[in-house]
Amino acid sequence: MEVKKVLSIGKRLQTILEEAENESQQKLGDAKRRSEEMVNKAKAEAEEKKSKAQRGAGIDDLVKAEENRAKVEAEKIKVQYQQKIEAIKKLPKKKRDHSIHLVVKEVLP
Amino acid sequence: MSQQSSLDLETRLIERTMAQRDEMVAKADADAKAMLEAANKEAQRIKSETDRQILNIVTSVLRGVRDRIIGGVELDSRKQLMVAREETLKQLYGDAEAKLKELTADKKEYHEILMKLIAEAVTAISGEEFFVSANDVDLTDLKKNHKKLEVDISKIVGYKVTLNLDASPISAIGGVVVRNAAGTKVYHNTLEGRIAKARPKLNIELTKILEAE
Repeated sequence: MEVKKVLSIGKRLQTILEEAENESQQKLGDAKRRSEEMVNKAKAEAEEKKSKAQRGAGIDDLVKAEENRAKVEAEKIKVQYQQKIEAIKKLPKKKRDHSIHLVVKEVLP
Repeated sequence: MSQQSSLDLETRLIERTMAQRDEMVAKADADAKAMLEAANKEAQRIKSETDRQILNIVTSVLRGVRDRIIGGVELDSRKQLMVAREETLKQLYGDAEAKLKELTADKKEYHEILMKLIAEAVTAISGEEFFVSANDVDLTDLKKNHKKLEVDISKIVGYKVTLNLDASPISAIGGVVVRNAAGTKVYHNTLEGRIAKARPKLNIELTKILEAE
């Protein structure tokens, strides 16, 4: 009678262990699926973002801001060159005389 | 087996099995957690890498925008600067020619210059007999002192030379064109010719002066 009872308990305990094993496998399976979903979603979002950036979508504001900055800088460069050009055109007498002297000196034997 | 021992065995069996179960489930929980953490880390890495790549793409696009605007202005401005520089250099060479023309009016000083120019040409060509061409004013002066000219040039070059003066004058502000008797060697030693020859070197020096602050 007692042996029979122990065997019956052993069977029930075995069932508990099998259920635990199933539960564990289920948890690992779920985790694996969720992990794959997470990584795949990240990859898909990354591709979408890169593709958008390559098309220039979503960066209009940045482009406009850069254009404005470049235009300001270009204007400064233009002014600097104009100053140089003016300085060359309106050559001071001292520089002009020095230049002519240099040419004459080089040409005469 | 007594009833007490049977109960003890039963209790131990249950305890051990439940411990095994708990351990199994706990391990599965820990593994699942680790798996999700690794996936989350990988997703974050992908996101960071993508952000970095997008930043590169955006930077490249913005650099293109910048280069297009600034590069265009720079190119245009540089072209204008080059034109201005060329115009001023042209003026300077013109003024230098005028200065040289003024110098030719000082007969004594210019005569010495002319002697040096002839001697330089004679030495460069080498030989004993030469034909000298000059502008009409210089030709007239040289003809007046033809014998003395030969003597003076012979002294300068260190051996006797015969100089024939061309009948027809050349168009030059000063200086000479000298050729050997056979006409196989010609040395252009006019003042304009000397300016043209010195121009590449002078352009560099003059540009430095023009653009110095």
